[in-house]
Formats: sequence, structure tokens, C-alpha cells
Amino acid sequence: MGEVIIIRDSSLRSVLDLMKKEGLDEEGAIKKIIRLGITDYVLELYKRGELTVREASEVLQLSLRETVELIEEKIGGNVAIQEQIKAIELARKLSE
Amino acid sequence: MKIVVDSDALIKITKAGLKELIVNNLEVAIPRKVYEETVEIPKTKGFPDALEIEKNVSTGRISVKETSKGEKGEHEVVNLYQSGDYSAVVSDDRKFLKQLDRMGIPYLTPASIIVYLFYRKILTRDEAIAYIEGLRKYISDEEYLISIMEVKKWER
Repeated sequence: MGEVIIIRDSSLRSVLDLMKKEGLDEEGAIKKIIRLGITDYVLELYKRGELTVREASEVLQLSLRETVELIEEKIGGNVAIQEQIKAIELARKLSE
Repeated sequence: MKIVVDSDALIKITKAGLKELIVNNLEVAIPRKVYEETVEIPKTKGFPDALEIEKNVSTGRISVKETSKGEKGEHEVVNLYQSGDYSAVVSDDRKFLKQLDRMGIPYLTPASIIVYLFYRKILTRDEAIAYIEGLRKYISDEEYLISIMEVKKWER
């Protein structure tokens, strides 16, 4: 049997009420909130360069192609200044 | 110039409409795993870019290479780079780029390929800017801004 966690959060109650109006029952609403939270958290880790696209896709249980689509929609890309400068320097060197 | 491209970069290059430019000017190779991730699996889910990549593979513009199977696609990309006379790995994944850096493997990003083609005078300044603009929604602000600034500083 799974562990029972009690969460006392007034905003959670309000969100659940809103989701009920959309036709979701309480269990479905909670599952949806957890799923959204997991997705946001994983995408944040990807954005910070702590996960690769592939690792993000494994956690989210999506195909790599679907994960690329999700990243495009929510973030864009995650290459930082130092990596891009290095890539441009290599591009210059290779062009000589 | 011969390059090995990972799945993420290949999908972005295709969606941004840069793939033909790149396969017409560079020798592009991908490991089998990247082919699976960008063509075989997405095709079953109706992603149109999968068909475009498949077309390039069937006409030989993108070559699919067998590598010793790694658990992850990144390993196959590295194995392929190390197996041949390649100039760089192309990726748009920050964690993977950091791994490549630690391994001493040279890398390019999608926007830096446009800058390379500009340096080689294959693209004019205006063309390069237009291609980088086309990539904008798929890449980070940093990648976009540094690339645009690099091209704009050259008066030609």
C-alpha cells in the first residue's frame, strides 16, 4: 500500500476546485498537478544543463522526439555563453 | 568538413529549414541510434521532419554509420566521432557539450554552423543573419545573440 501524504495548502484546494469545474475528479486533478510539476522540474534541470535531452525524455517517459518538441515549446534551447563562444571559436578555426 | 550530428541538433536543424544548406555543404554522419531517434520512432508518431531526414539518408546526403552499441545515443555519437576523421560533433544540448569539452572533443552548435558557412563565404552576411533568425525559436538566447553579434561585426 502506498504512503499517505497530507498536504495543507489553500492554493492547492482552490486549484482542485477549478479543475473540478473542468470535469476532473479529485484523483485525476491531483495526478495532473503532479505531472505538470514533474515536467516543469525536469525542464528546469534541462535548462540548467543538469540533464541531457535524452535523460529528460527517460524521466518524463516520452520519446526523444516528443521531448524535443516539449523543450521547444517551453524553453527553446539551453546552450550557455561559454559553450557558444567555444563553438564560434572552433567555427572560425575550421574555416581557415 | 565532416561532422557527426546528434539527434537534438538534427531535429532542430531540420525544423528550422537549415538541413539542406548543411547537407549540401558539409559531410554529415549520424550513428544508427540517432537515425532511430530522428526517423524510425518519430515516423510512427507522424512527425514530418522524420520523413525529411529519411529522404536525405536514402539519397546519401546523410550517412548512417554503425557503431559499437552504447547504452545511450551520446555514447554512439562519441564512438562515431572517435572512429573516423571528423572535425566536430554538432549538438545543442548543454550537458552533452560539457561532456564533450571534458573529453577534449571539439563541438559546434547549430548556430555556429551558420557562422562557419559565413566565414567560408558560402553565405553572405544577410543570408547568415536570416538563417540564425530562423533558428531563434529552437535555441537559447545566448546562442542566438552571440551568433548574430559575430556575423554583424563583419562588414561585407
